[in-house]
Amino acid sequence: MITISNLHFSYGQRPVFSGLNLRLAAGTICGLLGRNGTGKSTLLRNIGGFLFPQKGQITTLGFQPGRRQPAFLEQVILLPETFQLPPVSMRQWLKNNAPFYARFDLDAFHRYAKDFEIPSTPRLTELSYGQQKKAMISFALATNAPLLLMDEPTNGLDIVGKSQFRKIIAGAIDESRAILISTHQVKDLEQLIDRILIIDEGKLVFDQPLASVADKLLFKLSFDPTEEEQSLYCETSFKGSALILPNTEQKESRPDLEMLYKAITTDPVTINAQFK
Amino acid sequence: MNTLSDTFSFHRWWLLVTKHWSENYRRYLLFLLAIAGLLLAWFSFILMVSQLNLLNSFMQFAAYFAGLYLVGCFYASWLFADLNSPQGGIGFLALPASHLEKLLCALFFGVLLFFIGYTLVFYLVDIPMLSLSNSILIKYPRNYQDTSIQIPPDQLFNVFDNHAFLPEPGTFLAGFFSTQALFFLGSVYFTRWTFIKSVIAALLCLLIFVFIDAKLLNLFLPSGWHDVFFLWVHNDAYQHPSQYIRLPHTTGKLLNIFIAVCAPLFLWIITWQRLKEKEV
Repeated sequence: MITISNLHFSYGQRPVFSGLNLRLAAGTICGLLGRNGTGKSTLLRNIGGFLFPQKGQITTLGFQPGRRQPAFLEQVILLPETFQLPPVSMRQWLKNNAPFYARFDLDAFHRYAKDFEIPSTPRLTELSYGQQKKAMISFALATNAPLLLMDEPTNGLDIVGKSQFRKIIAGAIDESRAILISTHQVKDLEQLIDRILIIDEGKLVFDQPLASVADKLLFKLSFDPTEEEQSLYCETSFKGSALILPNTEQKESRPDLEMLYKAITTDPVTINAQFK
Repeated sequence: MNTLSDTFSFHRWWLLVTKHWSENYRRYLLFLLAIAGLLLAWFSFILMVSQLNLLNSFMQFAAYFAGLYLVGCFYASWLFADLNSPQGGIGFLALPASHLEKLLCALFFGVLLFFIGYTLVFYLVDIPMLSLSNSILIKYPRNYQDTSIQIPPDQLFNVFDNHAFLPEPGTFLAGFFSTQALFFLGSVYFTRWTFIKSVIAALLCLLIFVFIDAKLLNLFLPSGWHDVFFLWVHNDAYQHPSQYIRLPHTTGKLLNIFIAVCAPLFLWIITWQRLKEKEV
């Protein structure tokens, strides 16, 4: 679905990507993590055709994104972190925008809107930011676009909203679709994503399916100093030490994405070595 | 490679037009009402303070074109305002329509509908105000200053034929489309303060034009001749009215066509290219 090779991008003199490579296939919900300013949104905008690579190549669904052809825009939806909705009713908004998407499913939109509990108001602008975001997510899903790019989709959603979001996204994914979610809120997506990408200093420093993470790494709390010494990453707290250990005995554990993220940004070489 | 349907589809363009209208029609109706109110206030002011022929053709000409240029250029700057911020820009560029369709939709509203709407509103105010002005002149006849010549009733100003004020009829109107096209380009080219930056760019273009006309052309004219906006006049033209040279009628017409059609078309094509290259 997405093939990025040797992507170079900079804002003026400030380089963001210097030789980033990535391949993303259909049927996955991919979490894109990285520090502030590492270029998560920039990467999504490059994939969506809103920014152009200065060097290297991006192919999204067989299209060159920068050309922004209507057939491409119909199939790749970017949900930005901030957006503006017009001062019209939901019904009018759908009437104005849905016809641009040949595969738009109005029933699905109403189903998502109902699941999100979006209230009915005379104008969309009267909805709160979180409610507007829910409307945008519902619309994006209802387009049936094969590729959804979401930039911080859980920002602005309340606790119930985040849970609804996870449920709806999990129900919307199928073998023909891929969803790439950029986020700081790792915990919000822990049970949702099946592949994790971490970018740091202009490069993709980690790219593994979550199943592989669970297979190769063991996440556990321990008071054992020997285990602490053997750990790949350790965080001490009053409840004991939270450890990431090599999973040599194929034990089952639930990956803690926040800890994994910290471990990778601290020492990517050691963590990545476990996957070779 | 782009196919024709990637570049233009009437169906998609019409969807854009209906979407734009649905989202903005309230704003536009208020906008037209505001223009009507401003024209009404201005004409009422003229009627109150003018001592001579109240709403003469020049007064109508000045009001029409001042409004047309100011409001038309401001509106042209506003039509692509979404591109000034990432959130608006992504929403605008992400809509599955081609750049050409998006530009043509903006031109449909900004050039065609605006011109028709503004001109209609102008005449809706101008016609009753002119008849009021003429009825005042009939009821209270006045003479031109220091003469016994009575001021006749004023004629309705024809926007398509402003002979009286320029050597070629329609030049001011033609110039509007070129100027407005510059503001369309500015709104896509600049990312912040688009209107102000476009005004500066337009003034620079005007300065270059005036420099060419007033300085450069005079260098090539024989001694005793000077250039007045492409009209070459001998210094004692007042004594000998025949001593001036003007462009042939057809050349003047061609110049008008260039200003009205070729220059805007050229600027619109550049705007289209800039829209394709726009990053947000």
